[in-house]
Amino acid sequence: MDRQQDFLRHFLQHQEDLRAFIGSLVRDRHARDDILQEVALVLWQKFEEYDAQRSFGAWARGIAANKIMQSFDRLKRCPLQFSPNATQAILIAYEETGRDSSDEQNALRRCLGNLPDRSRNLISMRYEQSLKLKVIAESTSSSLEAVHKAISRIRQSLKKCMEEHLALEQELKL
Amino acid sequence: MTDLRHAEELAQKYFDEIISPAEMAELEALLVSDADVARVFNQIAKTDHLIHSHYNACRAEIAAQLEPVPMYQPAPLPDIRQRTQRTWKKIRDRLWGPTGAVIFHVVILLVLFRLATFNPPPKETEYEITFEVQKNTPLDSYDPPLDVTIPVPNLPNMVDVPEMPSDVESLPEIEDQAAPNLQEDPGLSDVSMAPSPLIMKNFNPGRTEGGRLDALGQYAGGLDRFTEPAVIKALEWLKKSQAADGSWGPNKPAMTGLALLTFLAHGATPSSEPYGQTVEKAIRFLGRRQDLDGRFCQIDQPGAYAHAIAAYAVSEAFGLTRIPSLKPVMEKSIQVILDGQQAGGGWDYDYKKTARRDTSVAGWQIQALKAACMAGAENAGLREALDKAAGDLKRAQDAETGRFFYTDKSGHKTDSITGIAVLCLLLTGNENARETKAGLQALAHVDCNWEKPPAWPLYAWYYITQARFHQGGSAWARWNNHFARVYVKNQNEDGSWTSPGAQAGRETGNEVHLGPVYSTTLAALTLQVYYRFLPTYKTVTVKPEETDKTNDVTIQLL
Repeated sequence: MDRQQDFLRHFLQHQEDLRAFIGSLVRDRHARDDILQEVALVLWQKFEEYDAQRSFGAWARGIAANKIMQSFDRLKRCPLQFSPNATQAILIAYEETGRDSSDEQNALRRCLGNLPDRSRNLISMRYEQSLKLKVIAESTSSSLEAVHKAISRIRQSLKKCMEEHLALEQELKL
Repeated sequence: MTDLRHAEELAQKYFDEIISPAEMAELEALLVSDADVARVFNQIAKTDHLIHSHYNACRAEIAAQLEPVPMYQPAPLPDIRQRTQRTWKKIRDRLWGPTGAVIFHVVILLVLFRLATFNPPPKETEYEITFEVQKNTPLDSYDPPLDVTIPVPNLPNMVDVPEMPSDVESLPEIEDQAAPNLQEDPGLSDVSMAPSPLIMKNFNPGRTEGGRLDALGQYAGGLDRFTEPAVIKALEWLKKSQAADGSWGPNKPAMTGLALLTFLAHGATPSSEPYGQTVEKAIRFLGRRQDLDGRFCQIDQPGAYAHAIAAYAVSEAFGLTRIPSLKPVMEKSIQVILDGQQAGGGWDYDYKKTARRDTSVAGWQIQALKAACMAGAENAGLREALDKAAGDLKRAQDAETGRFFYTDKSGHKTDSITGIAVLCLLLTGNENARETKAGLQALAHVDCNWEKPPAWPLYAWYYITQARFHQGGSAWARWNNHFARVYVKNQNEDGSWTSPGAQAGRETGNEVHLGPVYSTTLAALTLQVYYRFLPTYKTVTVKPEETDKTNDVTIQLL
């Protein structure tokens, strides 16, 4: 029973992070969640092998990467599927990025608040309503390319804004 | 050397799911050959995921109809019924969406494991299964057991603790508490603190807890994490430095007015915690202080300011509290200002009807009139007086520079005077006037330099900050980013502020003689701009097209 609790504690703590990692490699949301569930089962089955000295996140991501690569054939119907080598490269680089802290979520909330209305609408169509770019382009009667450019730019400006926020927070904490 | 920009473009296309097979192959090759590309990819992935989970969290919140979490709410009383609701909500949130599905699978697996290994008695299994079924009931159709009251003996009064306001238009903190000791004061003898459904109608939604948090989220650009603690420290300092008679000094009507405005800006009323008593004592002081003609003091050089500031505070107090006996106090004090207005629309010291008109004096008169207008004062000619005042200000503009004169064309035309005029034009509904725009333009270069302050620095920045706030866009964002930090950094340890003019060794305009209540209230009011602002501009229609968008993200949608 203790082992179950121990596992749940670890898993719940890293769940979002795992979802993010899988999500970057498997763009289809349902496929992503399917894989996350499968990964959760494997993690539990192999939990005895987990070395408490190591990072649970890194261990779990390794298993997730394997799972994704194993599902390669099944996922092929989804055109956006990285080769095993590319998956490995992303996995390795991931360790340096460091993810999701609540600070970042807060910063993002502020940054979204600062966006001009048009930008926010666009982001909301893409991320809140999960519309495909094609649909957004049609409903705003603009070209696919223009929508993509705009959304890429907003993503970049949000990233920059978040970095500035976190830096400012550091500065004012001192 | 990889072209990182190109790699980034490919990755952006991947995340927007418009990448072609050829481009996908190219991206894969780049990812494998260059670790930097993988890093760039992960950074975009991170932003992408953050935005996704932000909206997922929002959805979960809306679904659970969560009240906003208060930032500065005193610890809630231990109401057991409420706690069970909260816990349920927490569980429900946790299980919302795909997360629920994953946990479900994990738990089911665990249950199966137990079944296989321990062979538990059937009764226990039943419990486990019931639990899971409950978890997976769709939230829409599931009626959470909120009404199940756990019998709590010997816990009287706890059930009456008001819930967080979920609706901006109601002010629950007023409803349950009667104001104590009001009969002491003959001037306010028949005051009733009865709840009024009209309380927040036509007044600032930013003056409620939820409204304030909303406004901060929308306008503070994230700086409220620092500005709000600073404001609270200032309120605490003010609370401690209030005299026994409810006043602050020196120049009691002026300082009491400014302090009261600072508390009201934060939504404090006589019946709210923790500043209710402070606010009530301040209101009572001003009520007692008013003479039969409606004046709070003799109208002389400082008196013209002091009376207007006190009238401003009383008007806001009435607007927020609707204490019936405050209405005549407000209207009488406003009448003094109306009677003191010159034919040209301006005001002078002593409210003299001479040729001298004074933009600085006009600033407080106009703020008071506007607040009274918003609070529903019924003085005849109130709106016309505001229009006349705006006309006077427009005539005081230097056509060449867009700046405004202190008195007449021979007087100075500093940033602070220009700030006063611009804010007052905005308050009087002249946001689209040529004069207003030229004034904002003239202020474009002003910065908030604590080390090299202008004359009357806190006074100038009080007006300029509000004017910029209204201007919005990148001009506001830049100013906000700067002034808020400077103010937070320069707050004294005890919560007060000392005017930077004091350190500059300036002979005049150093603000020293006005004391710490002046500098602390003006600084705090300036930091409260995010939520204080709305009442005065409520009727003004803001045209977003007018804002300077140079720094914003431009989207070309054809």
